[in-house]
Parts: sequence; structure tokens; C-alpha cells
Amino acid sequence: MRGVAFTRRRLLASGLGATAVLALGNIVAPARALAVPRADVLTFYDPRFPRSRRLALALPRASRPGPVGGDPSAILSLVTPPRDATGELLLQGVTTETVPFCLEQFARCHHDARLACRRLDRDLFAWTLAVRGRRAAI
Amino acid sequence: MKQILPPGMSAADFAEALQALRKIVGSEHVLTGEALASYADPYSIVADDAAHAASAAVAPASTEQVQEIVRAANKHGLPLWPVSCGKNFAYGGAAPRMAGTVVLDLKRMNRILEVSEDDGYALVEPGVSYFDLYNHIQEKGYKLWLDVPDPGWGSVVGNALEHGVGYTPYGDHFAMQCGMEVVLPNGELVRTGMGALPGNNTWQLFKYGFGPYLDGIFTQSNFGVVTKMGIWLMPEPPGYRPYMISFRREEDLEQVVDILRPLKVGAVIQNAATIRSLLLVAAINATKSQYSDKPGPLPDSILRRIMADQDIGMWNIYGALYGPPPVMDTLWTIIRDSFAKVPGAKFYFVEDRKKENDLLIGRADTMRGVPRLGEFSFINWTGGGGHIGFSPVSPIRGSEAMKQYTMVRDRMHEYGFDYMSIFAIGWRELHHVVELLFDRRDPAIKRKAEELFRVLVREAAAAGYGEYRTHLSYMDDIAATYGWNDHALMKLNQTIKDALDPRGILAPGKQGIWPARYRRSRT
Repeated sequence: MRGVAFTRRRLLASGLGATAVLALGNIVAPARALAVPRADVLTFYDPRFPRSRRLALALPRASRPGPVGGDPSAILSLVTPPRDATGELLLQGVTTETVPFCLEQFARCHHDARLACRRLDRDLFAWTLAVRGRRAAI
Repeated sequence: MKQILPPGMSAADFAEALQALRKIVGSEHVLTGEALASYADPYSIVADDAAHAASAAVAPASTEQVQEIVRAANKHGLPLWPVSCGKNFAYGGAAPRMAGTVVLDLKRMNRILEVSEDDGYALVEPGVSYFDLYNHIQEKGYKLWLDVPDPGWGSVVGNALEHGVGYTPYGDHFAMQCGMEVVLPNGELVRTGMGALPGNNTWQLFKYGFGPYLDGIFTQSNFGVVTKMGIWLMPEPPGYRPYMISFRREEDLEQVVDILRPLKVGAVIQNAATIRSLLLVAAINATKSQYSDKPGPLPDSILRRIMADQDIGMWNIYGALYGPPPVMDTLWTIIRDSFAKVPGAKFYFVEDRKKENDLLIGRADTMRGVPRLGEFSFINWTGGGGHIGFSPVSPIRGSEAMKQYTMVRDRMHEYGFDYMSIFAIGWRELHHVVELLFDRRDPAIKRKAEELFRVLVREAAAAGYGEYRTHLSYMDDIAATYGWNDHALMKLNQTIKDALDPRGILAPGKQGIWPARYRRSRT
């Protein structure tokens, strides 16, 4: 099995925490649980569109963006915390519409999640998702 | 924000009913007003946004609370719309069929009650998603595979109840369910099959028990609230090899389907394989605007260019081999030799597909039960996120597939839409799932899509094709097409409905089945 499928499987299997975050395309962001300080903003770009990396780097507090293609499962894995999690997770990215589309559906169902999104060009969208640690009651 | 009430209910009576619900589940689990946003149809195709608006939502945490809610609903005449995870967006999400219905949100009932590695099953509550069950199996290290639909965030129970499909050999989800616990519309609790025998340990092993097999009447229906369900899980096979076969010409579909039928019926093709149209595959990695800025369907010349760019066919089979390597080798020889008769057929394994986001790589996960969301990439094709599934069923026969394809493609082109579809191969039938993409922010496109959808339903029915599931807005239309012998099936459904649910509180209008209380007002 190719690496990409394996790492996604590992990510889904392991839930949150260090392994999960590191498995997500070598994102160097916090190898910790969810309670990341605001300074650490997980940032994503779409490797199919090389300009998205440059645009992602221009986002506030972006450091080394990690790749996410058309499947946002890994991101949703990060933002669906265990029930006793606290703190706030901040994510941002420059990707195709699929990612903010799925995050929008997530945010609709989780009252502690806030999504902001804007179109940058024909293919790409910039988005920010803030999630409080505790999952909403419904 | 204008308050929406259940039909025929005063604001005072509604407030009293909600108060009764709050006493059962606590105030924080009864939602009204702005908090109902997550229960709206996320990309309604109909112009009237209020057509499927909920009046409130209530989220129980246990079967006992569901029973109490149902009893309270009977007392107050409150209509309820049960949803599991509410993620079936192309068919309406968590929104109710009838405006003013209270959503009975079962998401908090998310316990995985049992997984038996030896016997290969799980017993779960309706709020358990495919991601949840998959993660649980991985954490425990069970040598079991789940079968997942394309978006992995839906409910295991909900998908089986709606006759959803996946892509392993266990792809027919309702066929793989075994044993239910159901709250009836009067609040009584029943267990089906062997679950009715106290102390029995085969509830999740033998479906039929003693007497009539009732599980089916609780699927795509409004006869009860399923609060537990058994689902069979596939033992991890000793080997797995996903493959893709592409075909160059649109007319190849006929020969491909005719080759496929005996292979599937004879179990040479082991899983729920799919034939995907060119643009549905292309949309995973490209946007329409990369190829054309002109409105309307893409011309053949551009379709050819896309085929070359992405090394895909006009039709593309995604399947997988399972078992010991010698068995897989033998099956593959038969499959390859069979499809090699189609001129220009090309065969691929995962290692032959180089692009990171290639669809076969995604399908390689899905066909071994790893939940994903990558299939949503197709919404990038036109943008705007709206999509609705048109899903007629036919025999696995080439002439039938071509007839459906040309009929639907021509109408879609006439209305300015690109044709995108999956032919999913069942045990004896083809599900032709057509994706109609639209920008949910564009009222003009939505109007066109709605008009086209009704034309497709009408024309398919006239040709003898029925849909196996549909969006909320078309439940009555589709139900009406199943009208043999003066709508005898619907009359039977209504008889059962009225007997089990005389107050008509459970999911009015689900699958076109209206209780007497609302039938009268609708006529």
C-alpha cells in the first residue's frame, strides 16, 4: 500500500496527539494534544496547486504549511476532539473548495466551531477554522 | 427569525410540548431558533428554504429517553423526524420532510456496545459514525474490516436503514445488518429476530428468528426508531489488491456491463465494484474551469483532452481482489481476460497510478473499509457545493445501461449540466447514481436543476426505472411511480402506518408515507 493511504489510516486510527499530527504530511506543528497555543496555527495547502503553498505562507502566523489534497478526513480528525479536551485549536489553509465545504458542514453541527472562508481565485479558497476543545452537546 | 410550528399546532401548545421534552432530556438538549441551523438542508434544491425547516430539535442520550419522547409526542401531537448523524446531505441532511417537524437527533446515542472479532459483527447505536467504528476497531486491533460508503462521517445505522452501499464484498449494508432494537411509535420497545428470545446469544448472528422477518419495515420508513443495530464485519482477508480498468469510448459501456454481469453474479468480481464516468473521475483532480470558461456541457474534444491528461477512460471500473494471493491471481486472470475483449481497455493497479490524489488511491482505502471524505472533491468541478443524486435501478445488462445513460446524458446536456455518474454493481442490479452538481448560491442554476430532476424522474419511470432513494423534496414523486395495481404498495404502507402510529407522530411523509392525520389535510 502506498504511503499516503497508510499515513491517513494511521492518522485516523490514532485519533489525536503526536502521531496523528506528525503523520499528516510532515506538518511540524504541535506534536501535542489539542490544547495548542494560538501562536501555533496548523496551516494547509494543496500540493496540486503549487501557488497555494505561497498563499498559505502569507496567512497570519503560518510557519510551515502541510499538504492536504482533496480528502479533508485528516483535518476533521484533528478537529473532532475527545470529549474531555479543552483549549482552542486554530487551523487555516489555502485549498480547493472541498476542504472548506466539509469544514462548513462540520461547523454547522459543532457549535464551538467557527469557520471563515473567502475565494482567492478560480480554484483556491482561503479559510480559517477555530474550534474550542469541548465538542458541542449536539 | 420567524418561528415555524408543526402543522395545526398553536404556539402555546408547541411551547408546552417543548417543555415536556426539556423535562426528559434537559434544556440544553432541546434546540430552537438559530440553533437549528445544523438541521437545515445544507443545499436545498427547492426555491422555498422553509419547505423542510424544523421547528425544534431534541437529542436524547438513551433508548429510555427516546421512549419518553415518543410518548410525549403522542400526548401533544408533536411530529418527530429521527436522524442518526444527519450527514446524508445529497438527500436532505438532517432536515425533515415536513416543515415544522421536530428533529429527533440520535447523535448523542453513540455507543459501540459490542464488537465480536470471532463472530465478525458489531452492535452499535445510531450516533456511531463510520469514523467512530473504524477508529474503535483499529484501537482494539481487531482483524476486522468495516464496509464504508463514500463519505465516512455518516451513521452506520442510518446508512443501512436508508439502503446505502459500500464497496467491499459486504457492500450491501442492509443485507449485512442483523438484529434491531426499535422504539415503536407508541413508545414500546421491541427487538427483532433472535433478540426477542430472552437470554439468547445469536441476536447478531441469525437474522430471521421465528415468525415474519420485520427488519425491512423499519428501513426507509416511519414505523419505528431504531436504537440499536447489529452489523456484520468482514474478517481481514489474507490479501487485497485494488484495480482500475479504463475504457475509451462511451459506447463501450454496453459491452462492459454485459461482461461484468456473469463475473459479478458468479462471484468472480467479489466486491461492490463501480463503473465511473469520465467527469466524475476527472473532477477529483481538476476543475471545469481549467478546461473551459464556457457555460454548458463540455464538448467531446475537451473530454478527449481530459482523458489524455489524467490517463482515464470514458468509463472506469474500480474493483478489488480479496483472499490468498493464488486466489487473487486466478480471479485477476479471469477478469483481465474478460475485459481485454473490449478494444482499448487498460488495466492498472495502485502502483501504476502516480498522482498523489489519483482516484484509485482513494478507492484503495474505501474498498478495504477505510472511511474518507475525498469523494467530495467532485464538488470542485463547478464549485458551489450543491449536489443531488438521481438513482434509478436497472438489471446488469448492457442495453439497459446504455439506454439509461443516453436518456440521462441527453437531458442533462439539454439543461446545461455535465453528465457525471457511477454505475454501482449490486448482486443482480445496477444502481445508476447520477450526480447533478449546482452552485447552491445561484438560484437560477438551482431552478434548472430542480426542473431537470423532475423530468428525469418522470422519464425514468415511464421507461420502467425506479429510484431506490431520493431527496426529501421528491419522496412523494418517487413513491407515486411505484403505483402498480392502483398504488397497492402505498396502501399497504399506509395501513401499517396507521396501525402502528395512529397519531401520526413519526416522520410524516418519509418515503411518501403520510399518516392519516396529514393525508386528510393534503388532499
